[in-house]
Amino acid sequence: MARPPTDDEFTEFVRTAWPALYRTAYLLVGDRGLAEDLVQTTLTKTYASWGRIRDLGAAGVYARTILVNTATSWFRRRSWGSEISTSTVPDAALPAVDSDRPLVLAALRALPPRQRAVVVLRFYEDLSVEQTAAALGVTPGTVKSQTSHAMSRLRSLLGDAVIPEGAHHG
Amino acid sequence: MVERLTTLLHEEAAELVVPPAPAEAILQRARRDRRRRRVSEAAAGLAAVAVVVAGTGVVISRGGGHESDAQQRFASASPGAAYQDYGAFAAGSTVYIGNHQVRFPEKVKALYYTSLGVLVRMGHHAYTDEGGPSHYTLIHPDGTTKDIDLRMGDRVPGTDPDSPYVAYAEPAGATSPLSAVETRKVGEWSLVVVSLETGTEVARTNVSGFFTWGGWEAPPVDLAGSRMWALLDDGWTEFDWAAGTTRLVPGTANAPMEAAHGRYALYDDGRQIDWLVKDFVTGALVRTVPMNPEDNAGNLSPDGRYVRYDGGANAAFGDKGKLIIPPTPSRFFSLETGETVALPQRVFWGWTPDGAALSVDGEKDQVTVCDPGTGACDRIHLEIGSGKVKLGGLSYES
Repeated sequence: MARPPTDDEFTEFVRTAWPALYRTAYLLVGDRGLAEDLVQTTLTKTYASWGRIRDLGAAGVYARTILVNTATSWFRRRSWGSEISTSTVPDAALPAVDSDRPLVLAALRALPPRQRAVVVLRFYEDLSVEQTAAALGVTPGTVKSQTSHAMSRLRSLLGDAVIPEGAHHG
Repeated sequence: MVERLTTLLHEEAAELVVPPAPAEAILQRARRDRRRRRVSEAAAGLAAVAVVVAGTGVVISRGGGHESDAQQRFASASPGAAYQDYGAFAAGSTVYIGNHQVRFPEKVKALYYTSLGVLVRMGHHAYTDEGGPSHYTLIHPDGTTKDIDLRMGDRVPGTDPDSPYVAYAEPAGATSPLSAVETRKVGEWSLVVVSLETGTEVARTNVSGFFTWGGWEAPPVDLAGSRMWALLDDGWTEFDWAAGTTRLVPGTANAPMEAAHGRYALYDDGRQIDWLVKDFVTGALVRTVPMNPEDNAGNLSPDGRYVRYDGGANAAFGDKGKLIIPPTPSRFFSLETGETVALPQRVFWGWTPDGAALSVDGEKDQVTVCDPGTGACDRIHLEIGSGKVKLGGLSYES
């Protein structure tokens, strides 16, 4: 694409990218309303650079980077407890129940932001270490260590059934 | 080993009822934001000059005086002192060690501090997990070099700024690199110590245990004094080659991979956010490192005196490596005093051998070295060539 994409193309991009961004946002923030807010903010920021985009294929990667970093900045600048009920954020091991799926979101919320982002990008988005590093603007070594920290904590919260012994460093 | 986690995440996402995309509303909001931004950028045009001048004025030289004094100290320092004070970094195929530089035909993959100088890993590409061979060269502070015959493959070796050794682990009895699947089945590991003075192996022992978590060819290793540690699934396993003993370090079964200079990190049993930094040998608690939920753990300095809280959480790169979102300021915690100091925002802070924070801006030909204990910085002008910048004290094993 030699010319910048048009506003019509941006609108089409929003419709195409929205579902995937929303799902990733939901895993990051664990709340439907906040996820919607996060994706809207992300796409608004994406538009700010729309005139510089020459490859619509790269726009999705760009938007995902902005989404992850916007989420992280939200966590930093305001009390996460005021946005999400702190009663859902565990301090210690979560009780075993028949279905461990709802606990995954609670456990994710217990992770520091970038550890949460690393888990979502690596194990939901299936990005490589290098791709995750690029998305977060950190070194691959940092992604490794963040994964290590996150797996340690998730295992302590979710137990061996989800993070088996030996996988706790990820 | 994390398939269940992946499955749960996908199930959670798949069951979501995705609301319709408010495309028109987003476009209107984006246009409105763009208009406001253009107005505010025009108004801020003159003010930006004053900010730059003020920003220069707040840099406090580590040795006192002006920036020109720092430049003079850098230029006149002895090779050994310059290595300790300014550390090492690489840009492309050139390694800058103290106030010397050495150019290589290959690209630098990683730098490891030792008491003899910096051990450089290089190869055809700058990435450590490249399939091709890596070559290792020790650069002394005066710029002289010595090739070291190491064949470590894709793994994390252990070095220490006070030690002339490099340590690593390898599958016991293996004669060639193993695949990732094969590595997970290995139940016995050789822990190996090589002297960088002689280039020869000085100690080796075998320990039992599995390594399934890391993705490298062997467990990562740390080194201090006459001991090395490898992080197996069961925790840190110690090899004291002077005493000829091995042991599993108690209480490290769930330890994250963070260790330096004989110290390692654990999560506090209570909040599971704070760090407990402990001494490998004595098991004594060095200090509890308070962490906020928004902190992304930290990184121990090579000399084990400081912990850096990650400051790059908000940084993001776009196409062609352009910085889209700048990082937040980095905070450093002193394990000696328990005090925290904030340093200027940088995407990456590496370390010098003596635990100072090191940052390099290749575009501005600028090296910044700060004392994490006081916040005082030396800003050095240095002509830096092109190529991927690698900082001493950072992990590049991907």
